[in-house]
Amino acid sequence: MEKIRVGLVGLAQGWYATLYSRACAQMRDVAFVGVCDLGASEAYVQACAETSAAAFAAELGVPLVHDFDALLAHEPHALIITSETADHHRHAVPAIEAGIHVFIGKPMTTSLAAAQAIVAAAERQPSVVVLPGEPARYEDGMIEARARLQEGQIGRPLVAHVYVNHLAMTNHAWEMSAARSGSPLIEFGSYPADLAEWIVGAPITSVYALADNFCTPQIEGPDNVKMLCRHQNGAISTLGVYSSITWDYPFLGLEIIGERGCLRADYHNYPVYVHRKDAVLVSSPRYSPMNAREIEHFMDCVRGRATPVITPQEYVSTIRVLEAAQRSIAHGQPVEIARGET
Amino acid sequence: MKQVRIGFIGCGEIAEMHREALARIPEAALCAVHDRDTGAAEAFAAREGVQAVGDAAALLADASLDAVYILTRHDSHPELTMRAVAAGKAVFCEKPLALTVAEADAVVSQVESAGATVMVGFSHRWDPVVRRAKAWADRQATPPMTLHVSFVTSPFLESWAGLPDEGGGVFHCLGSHAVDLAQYLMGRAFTRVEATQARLRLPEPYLPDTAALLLQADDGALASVLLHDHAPVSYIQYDTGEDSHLLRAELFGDGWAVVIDSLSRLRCYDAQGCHEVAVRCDSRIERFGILAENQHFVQCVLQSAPPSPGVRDGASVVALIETAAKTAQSRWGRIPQHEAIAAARNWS
Repeated sequence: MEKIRVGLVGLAQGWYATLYSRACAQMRDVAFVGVCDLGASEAYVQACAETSAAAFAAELGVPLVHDFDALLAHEPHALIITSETADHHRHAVPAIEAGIHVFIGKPMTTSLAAAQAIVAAAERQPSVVVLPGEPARYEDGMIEARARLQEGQIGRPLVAHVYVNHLAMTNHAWEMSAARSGSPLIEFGSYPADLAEWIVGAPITSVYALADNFCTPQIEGPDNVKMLCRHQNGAISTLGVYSSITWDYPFLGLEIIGERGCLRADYHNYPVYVHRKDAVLVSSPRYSPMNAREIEHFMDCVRGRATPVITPQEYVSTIRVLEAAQRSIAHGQPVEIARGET
Repeated sequence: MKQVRIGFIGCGEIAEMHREALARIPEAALCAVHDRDTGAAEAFAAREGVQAVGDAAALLADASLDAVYILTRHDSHPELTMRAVAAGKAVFCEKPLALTVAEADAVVSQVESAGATVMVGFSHRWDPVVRRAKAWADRQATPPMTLHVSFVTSPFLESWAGLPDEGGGVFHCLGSHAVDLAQYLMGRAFTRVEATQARLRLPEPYLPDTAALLLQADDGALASVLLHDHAPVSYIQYDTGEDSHLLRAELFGDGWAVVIDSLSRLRCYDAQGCHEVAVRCDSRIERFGILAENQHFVQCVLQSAPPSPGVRDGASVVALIETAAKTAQSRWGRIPQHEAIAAARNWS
């Protein structure tokens, strides 16, 4: 049986790039065909990935190429795109149009226009797998929280508080540039924005946001953001991007209030709690290798064994929320989000 | 030992908690009570062995009383506070100080010109878990910069509390506690506020029952507040306060955080990692801060010291709440009404 030929595009998102590629390269039905560093300097790759492109390609036993077309010449069936976030669509769109499956490191894009370009390409190529990265969708606490909600344990969600905690990225200039990375609002705000819509089960229709840079002056833009959101079904949520403390603090957390009870969950060090009129239900805490699960899921989709847990269309919704938050921060007004369009 | 002789105006549920607290303070003596429901006052008085007074004016005119507690519906707080001050009493006024800025300002003006001792009952400042969190935050090298507070209740707003004229609904009933806590924990006054609201459970004529606020101080410090009246009894544990999630808070500084996970549990994070603190209390009035705020008030009366929180704290909260409610009405369009409101009302 022919192996699935996989290539890596970019080492800017170095942690993702190396983790996804190593996981993929170990799969028995995968042939890793090449690493493309997009012409980045050794110092750039070292800062982003804590290795050199040459060393990483050698580790995988594959050729190192320096431009995107050279990687396509190795005829990959699938690409892992971990270039700078603002460049994701520049690699994703031509790959999709060439019939190549793509996994795109989180966040999918920094702008709505770029996200829409990926969606348009995906809609022209319905047989191509286009999976945006969104690790929280693979985290046990969040999965369990959503499953319990879908079982109706607290009725329909009415109110939510969702946060992500992640220090601002400062390894390389591109991470500190709002134009290239989206800054923490886009880089990490995608977690609560996506989770809130996923778990509440209704899109966000209005956003008011406040933000400031408290402790990372070397980055452009705010390092902490708070958003006040209304959902299409009338639910209200508050979203937080916390960026001032290490990962000892839970990476993700949520508090959901439904028609018949409340649910709380933090990242994997903590259990999920469901409070109902008659009882408190507590789950066991579990460790969730989110990123390994993401790439396993992508490959299962490529193999035709799974359907993507998140679509680029859903990611457009997330980007709409975050762009609305940016406009709200700039203008000091609540911003309505037009719905019913992609 | 000098005792502070106290009269209550209002004999509802909160009066019972204050009575329980005062009974544990040797320097305090509850002597008289009044309620516009004469039967309620007489039952309370008979139970406690104190005098029932037929009208508020008579209680205020009782020269033997040093202090008066205003424990009535919210709309009457400013008028009764001012009448008590005019009668020369020290005053403990339950939150909110008033339902409008104009009324709150009038109270501040009169209290300050009279030099009266007036305390506002923001009891959750006094929760032992909040005190521990605040003390831990104050020991850090950098000040707090962001905060989230969820303040939630089991359904009670389907009463006078949820009506616009008497209670002020979710903004005044829940929001005044949460906004005061936010200013207390952050150690700053907020100067900017935005809010949105929803009607998720209560029909008209009750006010919308759910709200969320964002607040910002002049130095940029941020807070979010989530308020709702939909929590099940197991979440609030109102009878005992044990492991109550009535309020939850996440407070952050540069490199540190403290989480009020419940009224019994803190999680503190710093460079050494996370440590959890169990906060033990022997009663509901201790856990909900009622005992400590009463002890503070009685001591302030005995020593003629200014209480904290005082009327300026109360007025500051009224101003933020009034602005929040206005932004929620004027800047967010139609108030959402949950599609399942009728069904949702049946769950409890």
